[in-house]
Amino acid sequence: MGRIISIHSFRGGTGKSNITANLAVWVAQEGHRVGIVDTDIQSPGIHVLFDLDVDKIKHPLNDYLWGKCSIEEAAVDLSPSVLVQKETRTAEPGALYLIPSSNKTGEITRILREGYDVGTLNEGFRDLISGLKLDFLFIDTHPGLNEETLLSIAISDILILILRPDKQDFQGTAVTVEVARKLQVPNLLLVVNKVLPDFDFEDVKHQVESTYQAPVAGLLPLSLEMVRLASGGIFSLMNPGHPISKEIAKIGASIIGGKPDKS
Amino acid sequence: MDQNRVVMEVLEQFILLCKEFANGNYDKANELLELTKEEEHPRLIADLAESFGMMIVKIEAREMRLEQIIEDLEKTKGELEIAKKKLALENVGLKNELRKLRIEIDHSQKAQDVADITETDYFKYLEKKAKDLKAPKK
Repeated sequence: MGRIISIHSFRGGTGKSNITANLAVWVAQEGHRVGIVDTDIQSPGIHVLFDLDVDKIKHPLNDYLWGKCSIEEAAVDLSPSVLVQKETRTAEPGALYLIPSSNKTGEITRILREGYDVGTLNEGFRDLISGLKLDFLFIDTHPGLNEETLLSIAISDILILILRPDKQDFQGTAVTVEVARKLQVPNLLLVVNKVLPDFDFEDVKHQVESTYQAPVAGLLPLSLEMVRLASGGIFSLMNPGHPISKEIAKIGASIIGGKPDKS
Repeated sequence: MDQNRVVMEVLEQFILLCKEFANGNYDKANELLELTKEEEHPRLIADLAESFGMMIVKIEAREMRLEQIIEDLEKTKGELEIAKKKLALENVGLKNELRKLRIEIDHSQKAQDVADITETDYFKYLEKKAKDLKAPKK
């Protein structure tokens, strides 16, 4: 049975979509069948990392929510363009699908004004997992705690909360953690992003873990290379030996419950 | 013979001058200039004095340039020392700031924010349904 991984942050700008994309690719490269749903309907963006022109997509997620298509019809198969066969490995790469949200202002405004049945979204997730035989479904959420975000938290097998080491994120994460506990999320993982490299990483990890009583799956340093890439691709595919890529592998391993490949 | 004695005296004068120059003392360079006067000294002596004079001028110029370079380098070194000390001080400041990093949670604000969410009908519905939602339908 496929597992649902919700990736969330209380505020924007934490690098949520970037981490989601990198994790999903890593898990797929490990030979799993992976889907990503961009439920950030208000400000979709993860497609940019995959160099996908959403305007040319026949059916974005919005069409599914309006009953215009099935959820499977909204899935774009990224496997051929994104996944690479590793020569050193015998296992075939898995599969990677993206269900993007519409980038068109009119469609965004319409769904925000008219709303949609969040129950439909939940059914969509389930149909997607069974229809595409997914091992993992990643949900890229909108920052904050609106209805679809609460739903994605409630149905997730693993909730990954991303925060930066700053006061507002600490506060917002405390709220999210408590809400997630009330929704009985079975696995809660924290990822601290954009940590200044001269921080004492062990100390940051220890403090975050003791504050939220939840494990820190990864600490990602603030990286100039990452900033320079500016959403121009999947960082860990382009920089396999980079400390950030290794940390992504570590987080990925705690998602699939195995050990990271080499490193 | 007289001529030879004159030449010998001049050469001895040369030797003395060379010793002075070797010690970095160029005050007697004027004496060398006197020897360049062809009407008073044999041409060979005058030419020799001319060559020596040119050599001294070039050595002096080189020494002056080197002294200037050394002076500049000393100045830069001093500035670097100052910058290094300033950096060390800043680093101490930064490290102290890092140590001060503490995660502070405003618990009453948190309780309020959590309540704002959990008291909505939608949340209550989700909370009740949480277990069913997790299991796939069918």
